[in-house]
Amino acid sequence: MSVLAIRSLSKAFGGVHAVNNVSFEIAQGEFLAMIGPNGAGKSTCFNMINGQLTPDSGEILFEDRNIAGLKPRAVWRLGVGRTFQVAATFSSMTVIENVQMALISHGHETYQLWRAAAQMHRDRALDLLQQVGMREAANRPSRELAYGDIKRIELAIALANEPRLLLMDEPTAGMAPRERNDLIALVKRLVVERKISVLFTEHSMDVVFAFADRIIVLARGRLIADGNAASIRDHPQVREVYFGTGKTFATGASS
Amino acid sequence: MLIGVPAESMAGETRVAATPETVKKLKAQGHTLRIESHAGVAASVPDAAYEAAGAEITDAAGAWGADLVLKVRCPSESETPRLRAGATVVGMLNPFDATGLQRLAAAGVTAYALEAAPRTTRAQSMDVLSSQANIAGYKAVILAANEYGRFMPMLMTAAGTVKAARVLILGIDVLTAVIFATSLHFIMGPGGMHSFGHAAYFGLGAYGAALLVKWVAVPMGLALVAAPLVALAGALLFGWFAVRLSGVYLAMLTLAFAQIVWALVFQWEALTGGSNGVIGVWPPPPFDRAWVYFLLSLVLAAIGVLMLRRFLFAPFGYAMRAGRDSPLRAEAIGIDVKRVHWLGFAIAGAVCGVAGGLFAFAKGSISPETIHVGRSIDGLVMVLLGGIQTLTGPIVGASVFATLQDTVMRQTEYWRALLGIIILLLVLAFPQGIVGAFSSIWRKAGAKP
Repeated sequence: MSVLAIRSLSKAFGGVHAVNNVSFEIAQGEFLAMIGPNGAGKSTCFNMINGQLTPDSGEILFEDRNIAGLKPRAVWRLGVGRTFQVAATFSSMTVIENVQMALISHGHETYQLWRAAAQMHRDRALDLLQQVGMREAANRPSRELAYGDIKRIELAIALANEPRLLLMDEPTAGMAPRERNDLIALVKRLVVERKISVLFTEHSMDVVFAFADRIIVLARGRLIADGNAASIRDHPQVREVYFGTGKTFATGASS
Repeated sequence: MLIGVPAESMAGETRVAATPETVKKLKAQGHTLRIESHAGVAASVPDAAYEAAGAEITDAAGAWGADLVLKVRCPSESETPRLRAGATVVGMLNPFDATGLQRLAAAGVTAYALEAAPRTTRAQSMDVLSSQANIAGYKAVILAANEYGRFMPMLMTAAGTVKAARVLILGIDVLTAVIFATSLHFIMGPGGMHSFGHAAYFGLGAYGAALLVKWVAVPMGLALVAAPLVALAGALLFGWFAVRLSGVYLAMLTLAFAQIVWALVFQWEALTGGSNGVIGVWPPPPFDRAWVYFLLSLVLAAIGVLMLRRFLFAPFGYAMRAGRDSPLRAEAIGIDVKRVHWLGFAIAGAVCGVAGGLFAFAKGSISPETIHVGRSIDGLVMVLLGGIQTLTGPIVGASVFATLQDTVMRQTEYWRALLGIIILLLVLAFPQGIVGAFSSIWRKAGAKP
């Protein structure tokens, strides 16, 4: 069963077809990487799924419900979590307050004026922090944390509403290679336990090829390849968009 | 133009419609002035003084025959025919005297009654009521003192008579400032909305309460309940637009809304009394005693501040901060940032309305100056002076500001400049605000073994 089905999705900015008739699906528990060179339409595609952009045409079916054009917060309420390329947390709050905020919102308790928020959902928040390895830092102000730790907090926040689909926009951007692998390994472990599907975009190919169950490739707004790591690696069109035709190199070498 | 000043004929009237100073001014504008001989004698102005100022001294007919005739009293039955048809007459023409008006109309003159000029700020120079009425009031007191069989203290005006209660009056001022600044901090700090027009909600509260007292004669308790409700309504309306913007655009919009409220109050004279404001909004006993009213203010300020504090530590306060820290992340965990900030704006407005209501009853009146843009700026200064990081900041900032203002105002005529300099020095000395500075000193001291 597919958790997310994208059908003929298109979006143009002026005359530029940022995303052009793209279709793909994600199965339950699948770890799907979306790759492509800069300007391929990854972010546009992503932002249409999470509600920041409205598609010109096409459908985005999350659990058979068309979510195209819904606001980000409505998409989240249906069970879609997300992380950002530049990790976004609430810098004035402590680590645990960040997670509590997500749990409060998930419990439809945002507009309560009288209860002490610090006492709400503490155990659940600590539990989530434990899972991302940040329990020790629970009471530290989040602005004092290293970037890698912020990423983990963001992950805990994203898991707070028990999503069935997690959207991760370049989860390892700005991180050192070691941290990068640790984080993705953590994500993979957590989502496998929960059978969460993940769609992520990524620039570092080592992460993609090591962890993705399946890879889709976008180039100039079109989907040009869809398959496992081996088939993508050998896909002629993918090689072409990433490395060029290779003719320059061949000619240069022979002369 | 030919301007004539006849002598006043009414018994007991010693005034005259022009003095050598005004003659000089009119002369400078190119007019010709004809003063009836001996017109100024009763007001201690000899003909020679007028001549020296450039006027011509004529007989009565010469003065009455001018294009524009200046008078103190309305021309009498015998004087009216002396006016030329088509001439203009200006003076205190007693516009409620129907026969007098009929007479002027029949004479075919254009007449301006000065006491009917609107008493707006721009017409202040034409105000003929306050100067003489004031002096009449003084004289009345002196005459009464002469007749009265007992001693009475030297009372001229209310000024200087409130000394004994000064601490309490200042206390009430401080408390209204505290409510004002705390409510502004609520949206500025945790909400990240820098409002430059918080005076609007102060004004809506103050006028809401004062007008209910004036027009419907509601009791003070009800008026003080209505004050935050009126402010709430205004904040809901204005806030709906304001939260759609941020940064300097939000500041501009809030400023514009405050100007709208001010202009409405200033110009809707029939309802609000225009520039004169609403007067006679005094609290009933026992609140007419300064210390009782001080206690009332203290209770309301405490409730207001503690309530806002409670909100800030509740899910709603967290959501406001979340929306300020990262709107993107907040939306991505299901928080409707605009709606949260809108409600925050409305709550702050309502609490600020309480300050307005308290202020109106404390002063017994409310006028457009007290809700002008200056008050919005004062609020910003209070919040920044105390420190924006904590809730204690605006409380300390408001107390320091209100006390300073009161003290400095008593020292010098140039108090605004002096206050400005003091604030500037304080801000330079405590860039994080007074509370911010003390808490970092505290932390440093605590860090030492």
